[in-house]
Amino acid sequence: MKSRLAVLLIASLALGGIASSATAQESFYEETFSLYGYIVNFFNANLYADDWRITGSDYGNILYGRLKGDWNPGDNLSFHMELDYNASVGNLNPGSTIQSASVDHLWGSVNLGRFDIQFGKLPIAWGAGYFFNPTSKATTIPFIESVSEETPGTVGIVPSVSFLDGFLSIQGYVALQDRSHSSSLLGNTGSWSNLPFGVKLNGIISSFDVSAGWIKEVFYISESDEFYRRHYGTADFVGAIWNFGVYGEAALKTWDESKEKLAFEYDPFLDLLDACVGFDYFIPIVDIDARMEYFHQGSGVTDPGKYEENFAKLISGEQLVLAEDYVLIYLERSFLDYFSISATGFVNLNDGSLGIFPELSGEPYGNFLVGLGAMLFLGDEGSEFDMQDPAVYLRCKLSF
Amino acid sequence: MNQTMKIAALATVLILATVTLAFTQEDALQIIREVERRQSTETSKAELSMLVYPDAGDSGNVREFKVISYGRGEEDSYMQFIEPRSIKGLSILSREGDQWVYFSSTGRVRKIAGKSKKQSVRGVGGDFSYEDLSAGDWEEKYDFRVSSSDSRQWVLEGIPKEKDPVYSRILIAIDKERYLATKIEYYTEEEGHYKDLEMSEIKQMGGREVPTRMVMRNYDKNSMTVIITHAMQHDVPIDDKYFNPTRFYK
Repeated sequence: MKSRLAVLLIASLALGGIASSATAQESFYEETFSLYGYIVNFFNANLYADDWRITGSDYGNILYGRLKGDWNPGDNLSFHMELDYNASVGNLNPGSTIQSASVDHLWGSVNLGRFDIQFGKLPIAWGAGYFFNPTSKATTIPFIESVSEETPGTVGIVPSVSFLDGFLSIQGYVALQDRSHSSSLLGNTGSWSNLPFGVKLNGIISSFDVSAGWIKEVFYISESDEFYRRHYGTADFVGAIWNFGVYGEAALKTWDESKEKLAFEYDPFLDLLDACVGFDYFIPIVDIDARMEYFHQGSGVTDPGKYEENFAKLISGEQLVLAEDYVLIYLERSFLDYFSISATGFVNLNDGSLGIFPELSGEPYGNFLVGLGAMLFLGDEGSEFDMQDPAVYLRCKLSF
Repeated sequence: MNQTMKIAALATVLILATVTLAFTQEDALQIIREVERRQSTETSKAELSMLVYPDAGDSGNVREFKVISYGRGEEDSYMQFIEPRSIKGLSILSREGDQWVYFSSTGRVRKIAGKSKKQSVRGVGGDFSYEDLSAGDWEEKYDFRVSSSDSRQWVLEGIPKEKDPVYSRILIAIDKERYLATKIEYYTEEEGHYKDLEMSEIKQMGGREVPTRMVMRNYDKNSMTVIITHAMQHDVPIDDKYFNPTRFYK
């Protein structure tokens, strides 16, 4: 039988002789060109505390705008662009420029039956995880991003081919720039060895989507002016067990081109593995959406005394966090359809420090979203989150 | 009455009850199949508005969404939200009981699984859950029996076949003359009588008659969602990519 909504929509097909029936205009929606987007204003106040007493504070603000455009000149052709603008002041200014604008996405798509190809500057967002994506090796995405959820565009080519009516497919990408997207990377870097790529085989098995693949990651290190070139075997899955949605993904380093030998020969297995596994569950009695995710970062360290070695990797985006093992718990309760209260707890399992991010958000009017939240950090001296200052923020987003 | 007669009477009653039950189930199945047969279409396209009333008693507090919906074969459907701009591009693919959602804000596809199917679509709200919008075969998901019947309609009771379903029971009212579902009542273990869906305002669209107004009332939240069909086409070409889990969002 048809999907239920479709059932309801067409539930009276083939029935004649209804005297009261009326004839409707059969116009059909076609939008070949459209412009839309949003602006976000994110105001942040850092609170400096000593033994739970606030000793000072300062503020920062980010104004972020994103203009999106779609053009569909034919059934099998489409074009998409996204321009962004960022003005950062106060404690949110990274120290370089106050404002910047860029073309973040600019791509075309050609659909040729079972084969399609996208090319240009486009988001390559692999992975099944919600908070961490160890198989996403085409670009860096900050772990805590309160302003925009967008996946940065990477210049590249993304082909895919599907079989068995989509139950089996091969997806791939060739990126024409390294993962760092470094603006300090100048000159001719067009060595074939610096060409990142990924390929994976996706399948749908019962209620599970699974994939297995191979990725070459290339990352430019500006401090040493060199490229890391690493190969990974990858896998991910997403599906349901009983009433739990479950998911996971893993990237296992197999080969580092600079070392010219198999990774297993010089590093223990857990140091080669980036993986996340998680579940979501809707708790019916209290209507709470719950999610829990464990993340293992092979290149992280377990001894807080060695965090300093990883700072540069954190700043460059090569690593998301400093340590090796984390658990993230997310709880959200919605009310009146367009308002919610949520809390995210982020625990470093290696040093016991944690971050707690409560937020109250809502959409008082269509296209206008407002969120009020806080970032609180707890941990022993020298732990990862002990180094963070608490903050409160107000975020407003207006879509157009 | 001697012992033998008592046993014979009891056996007769049991046989009659079994036969009656078998006929009732058989009738229900035939009705469902006839509804299904009359709905059969290769493909369909629809333009919809979804009006969400967070408080059913406050008609001034309403959110409007515009949706394009495609259907293919017996179980596949695709929906794309056009308005409001805050969620433009949000797409839902339902296929053979599985669902995938593309969030245009993150560029990611998420599979909807487990109890999450009871929730409304993130960013949209309202009273249609992922489960309500999902593909699936009523006959495969529910055991039906005729709960009641009068000169105008049958009421079929559906009991889910799977363990831990989203709905513990549904009641479907079917117009006898048209073989048209006019109302569905949804029950859950937690909330009891949870929601009602009513279909009305039948109009000619794409050469067929379609209920163009669907009202879902949620008794747990005291909210209401109305779906209005503005236009519909049947048996028109639709690109297979809209029903492909790895391509529907491209």
